[in-house]
Amino acid sequence: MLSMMRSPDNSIASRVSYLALMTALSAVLGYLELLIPINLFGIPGVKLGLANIVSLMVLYSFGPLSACMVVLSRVILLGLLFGNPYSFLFSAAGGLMSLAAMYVLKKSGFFTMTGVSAGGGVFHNTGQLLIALLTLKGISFVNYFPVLVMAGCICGSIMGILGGIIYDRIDPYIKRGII
Amino acid sequence: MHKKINKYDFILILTFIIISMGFIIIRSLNTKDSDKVYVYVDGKLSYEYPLAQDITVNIEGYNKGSNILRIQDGRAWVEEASCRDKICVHSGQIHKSGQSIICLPNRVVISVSKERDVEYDAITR
Repeated sequence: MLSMMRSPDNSIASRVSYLALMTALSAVLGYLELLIPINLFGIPGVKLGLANIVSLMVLYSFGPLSACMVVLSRVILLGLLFGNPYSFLFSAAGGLMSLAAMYVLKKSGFFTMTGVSAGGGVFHNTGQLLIALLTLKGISFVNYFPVLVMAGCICGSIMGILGGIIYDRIDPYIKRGII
Repeated sequence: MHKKINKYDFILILTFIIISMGFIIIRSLNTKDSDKVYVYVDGKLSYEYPLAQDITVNIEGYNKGSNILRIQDGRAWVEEASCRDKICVHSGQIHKSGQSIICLPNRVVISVSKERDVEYDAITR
């Protein structure tokens, strides 16, 4: 009951605890994703982007800097727990590219969360492909690019719609400092 | 409650789909049968085999990982791998120029192409 009566709370402490909560949530979603193998013409690294729902929500509720911290914490956490230096590099590149794209699309003011997330998905995959081109030889760009753009666009849109629904329900509580 | 989707979203999504369709069309126009299998380990060209010859070889990847490459009837595929996810095994068979099988944990890339194509990392047409 006490928390229900609290006034809007924008202190650093409350922000940090919300972001920690979001980081934990996105790390769990990121782990769940690892358990769902998607095989798209044998391209490694195609996944649903569940963790991106959280990045999207943090971007809308707390701003780009907080979203960046949540993405980086998730990448480091998952990298240390389940990954290797290589997969760490891939997820860091994907996560940051996607966040940058989402920030620009959101800033432009034309798109809803669906469009923003679709762009994020496409740039996530493009970032990963760029890292693959830089580190591995013998990969043909034209072979992988269209499939990755298509997958990123479709998964990103779905995650954007989901993210929008969840954001509508959760954001009012975050703004009022209740949960 | 904000709007879930608007016309700009549709335009954006459509643009992405058109771009990828464009690439798919370019790719299908350029596809030719290839005659060589190139194996890259950790970014270096390590082995090459003719696609016409039926063989089974063990490729030693990064960090003592191994992939069993099989070439038969003009197709190449990975039969077995030491890695956890086995994405390379599930990649199926490749035979068209530009196709590749990637095993990230072992840093192995297996690609097929025409012999003279391999000088270039990427070709802009």
